[in-house]
Amino acid sequence: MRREPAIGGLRYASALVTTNLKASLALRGAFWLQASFMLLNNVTFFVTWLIFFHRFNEVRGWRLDDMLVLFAVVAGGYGLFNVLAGGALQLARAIGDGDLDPILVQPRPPLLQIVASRSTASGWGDLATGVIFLSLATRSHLAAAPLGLAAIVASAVVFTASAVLLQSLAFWLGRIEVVARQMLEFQITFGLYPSSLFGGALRVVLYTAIPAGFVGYLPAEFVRTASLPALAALFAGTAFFVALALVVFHRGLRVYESGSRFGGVW
Amino acid sequence: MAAIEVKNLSREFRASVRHGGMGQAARRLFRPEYRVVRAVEDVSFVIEPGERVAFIGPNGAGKSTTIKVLCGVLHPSAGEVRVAGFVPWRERRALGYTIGTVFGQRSRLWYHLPANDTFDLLARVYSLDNAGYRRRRGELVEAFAIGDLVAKPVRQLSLGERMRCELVASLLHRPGILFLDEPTIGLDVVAKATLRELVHSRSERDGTTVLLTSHDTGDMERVCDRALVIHRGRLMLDQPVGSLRSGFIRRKVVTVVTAEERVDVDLPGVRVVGRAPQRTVLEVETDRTRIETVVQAILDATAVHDITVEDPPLEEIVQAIYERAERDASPGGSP
Repeated sequence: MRREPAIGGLRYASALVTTNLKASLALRGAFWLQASFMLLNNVTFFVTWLIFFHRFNEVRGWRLDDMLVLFAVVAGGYGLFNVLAGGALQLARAIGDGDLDPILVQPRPPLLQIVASRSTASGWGDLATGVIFLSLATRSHLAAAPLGLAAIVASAVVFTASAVLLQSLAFWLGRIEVVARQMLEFQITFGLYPSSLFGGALRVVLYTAIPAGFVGYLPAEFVRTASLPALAALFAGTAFFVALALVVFHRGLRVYESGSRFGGVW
Repeated sequence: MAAIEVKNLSREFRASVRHGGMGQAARRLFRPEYRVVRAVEDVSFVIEPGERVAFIGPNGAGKSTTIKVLCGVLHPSAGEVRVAGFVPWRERRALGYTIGTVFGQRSRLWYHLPANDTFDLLARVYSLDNAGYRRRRGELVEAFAIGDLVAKPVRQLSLGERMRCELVASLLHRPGILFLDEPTIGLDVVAKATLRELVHSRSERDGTTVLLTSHDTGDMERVCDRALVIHRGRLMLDQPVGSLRSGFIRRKVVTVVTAEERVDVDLPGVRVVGRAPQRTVLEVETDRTRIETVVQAILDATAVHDITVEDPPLEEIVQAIYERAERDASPGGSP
């Protein structure tokens, strides 16, 4: 079998990301509108927490700066996921419509091409939110900023893995894109509350079935404490969900049935 | 080594049962019913390098399913397949470098970007060196006359223009085998003719093996030398396109322009199918009366200004093949 030098793979990945970003920037009006409205939406949402912390000062040990970090990590992670791997959100529809065909005939890993071939403009608004909030949260201890960026990347990887995992179930269950998106919404919603609010069985759920813990609390905890256990748990959780997503997707490919609907490129 | 070898290929799908009223639909929410659909059944054939083969059949015959198994998109239920020496569903990545594909119903071009951007990305997909890629792209852009199209966003192209760009995209890496799945679907007459000519001339020039699925017999006639006819998942016929006529049609159409108002020919198997002043169209069953006998009878009967003897259109021939396949498949049909 033909062996591809690693540099060829990197060149391909970089060309794919560049093409994807060019496509997302092609419709300038829509791009600016979606990105700026998402930023505005996030800021408006956070105003609720500003009012809350102005009144109560802390919630079970969580203060405003902790919420800023949590919000930065979740919004930034979700934004980065949407910008670089937005195709994962279209996966169930593509499976149902048979749109994987042109991707599967190319000599490249299909999942990389699928996730990296769509970028959502609103993701830039989320990513900007993450960067701005992270800057605010780490204004007095700049050393935490690189940890924050690493946490955003980890959160984005888990978001991508979760989306691939949920949307890949369409190989067996059919058109489940709405349910898959709702599950991801759950993940965001639960991820945006202080982890100390949840305990017992719900806490287990938030680190397994709805891995909100890995897109919010754990990366935020890592930024707040810079502790090795937090980093190790984050790494292990991220690796687990990535591996699970890869297994489910590739198992699903075996039962992919294509389709005859007229379709377009990603 | 053969370009494509297919042995006893079968592909089944599980389809949910959907007949019945609202009550049954509600019941099936809890107790789903499935049936097995055999899209492709025990199909075998070999295609040698450089052959141009049409894979034709009516809608739902199993053409696209077969081509998707050959490209590695679908896993088969049974059978053996080798394409360029590779087992497609196991060695999809290696196979990808040696095949080109155009799915008429699926675009590879990035919709909001100019086709050039997709070409640049494909150069990376296939690890083409920069100089070789630019040379090849220039050559194809000129051959396919898309020089003024490649800088426009794909969404602004007509379907015919887009399909020419799709073909260029599929040929950039010089594939040895080209799979075309309904490449002319939705195109107007001019665009179809252009595309067929381009596929034929490029495959001849590069020695590319072509496997084309279509339910448009024009694609088969203009591009291919050999036809595989599939019906209800089974291969019904495998023969040169040129011999389809002689093999399946025992009928010719004679159009005669005469000095007199009309001409009548009273021979077995000859009937008038059209008449206008000085012009008569006859249909001749050639296994009942030889065509020479009919022509001689006309010449004996009247002064002839013009006479043409034609085969019926290929579409009618293919229709005859399908009808025979239908008869053979039905209970009590011929073996």
